[in-house]
Amino acid sequence: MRAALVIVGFLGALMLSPWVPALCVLFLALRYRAWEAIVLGLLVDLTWQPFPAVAGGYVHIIPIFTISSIFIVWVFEPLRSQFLR
Amino acid sequence: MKERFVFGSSNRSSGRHRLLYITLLAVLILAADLVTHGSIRSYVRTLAARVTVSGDSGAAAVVNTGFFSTHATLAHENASLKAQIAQFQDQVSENAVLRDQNEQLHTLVNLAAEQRGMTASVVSSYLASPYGTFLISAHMPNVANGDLVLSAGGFVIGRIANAGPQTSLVREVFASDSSVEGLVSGTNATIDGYGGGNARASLPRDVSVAVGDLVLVPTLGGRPVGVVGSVESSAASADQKIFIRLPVNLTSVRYVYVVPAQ
Repeated sequence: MRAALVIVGFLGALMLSPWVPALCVLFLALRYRAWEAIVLGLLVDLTWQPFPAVAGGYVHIIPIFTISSIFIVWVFEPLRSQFLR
Repeated sequence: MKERFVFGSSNRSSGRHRLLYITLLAVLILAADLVTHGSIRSYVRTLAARVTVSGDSGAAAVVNTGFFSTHATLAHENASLKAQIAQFQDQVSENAVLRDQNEQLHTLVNLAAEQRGMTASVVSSYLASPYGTFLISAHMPNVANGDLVLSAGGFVIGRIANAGPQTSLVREVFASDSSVEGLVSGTNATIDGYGGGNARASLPRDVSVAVGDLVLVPTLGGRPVGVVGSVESSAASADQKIFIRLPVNLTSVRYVYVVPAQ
């Protein structure tokens, strides 16, 4: 299940709607202590986000997906600690 | 019981440590990318373009084998007849795709005769990016940051945001959260992008705007960026809402023309 989510997230990050990797990150972070969620977020940002210094003036200069995935993974940590034994 | 608890807590601790390391690594990668002026993301994009192109051709190869279609109808049809039909259908589909590509390239040739630039193929999905960007095959030194990316009809689709060594990242003019000053029916207006080749603007109600009017952007060399798709006005409002769209379906655009910014 975990591997399937990672593969779907990876393919979604490159070929499908951004909602696909976002949901995969959410499910991964909710169910597993998944470092892959952070890698997925990083992949989306590095692939699709313009480099801020070169493309100055653009709104999206914050790596939103990476920060969000790190946030989600760590926010769910206490919840997972209660259920993952 | 105690042993199990110790084992569980040790396992949990190592999982947390791994998460922490990956978090730090992600931050380090982003910092290294900033320091190296985007060299890491250029590398990632090159890999992403390869995966996308391989994925597309792989999917096409699987479909072309007729594996799924034969299994769906084997119970009802003679196998050999079905294989022949599938083959003919594949040929028809391939011909349609080739004809479509040929038409796009033919139009781009006409565009190339009018202005200096280069043709590039789109090597990524338009749907995948949350930032209104896509990848094209043009690369440095043939293209530079800020160059305009045109459709076959001469409409500006976007600008080169990051020219890379093998692929370049294009940011759409109508990306969501983007804004550009343009001329709608000769009147200045702020055009707000909504992604997918769609945008909106607001104009005073007394300005005459018709569906199909060109929307031009002076900062992009006075080139068209879209056409008026529909107009909404009401007697209760002093303004009218203008819905602007790119006259081409973005997802069907396979080739683009890149011209230097002026």
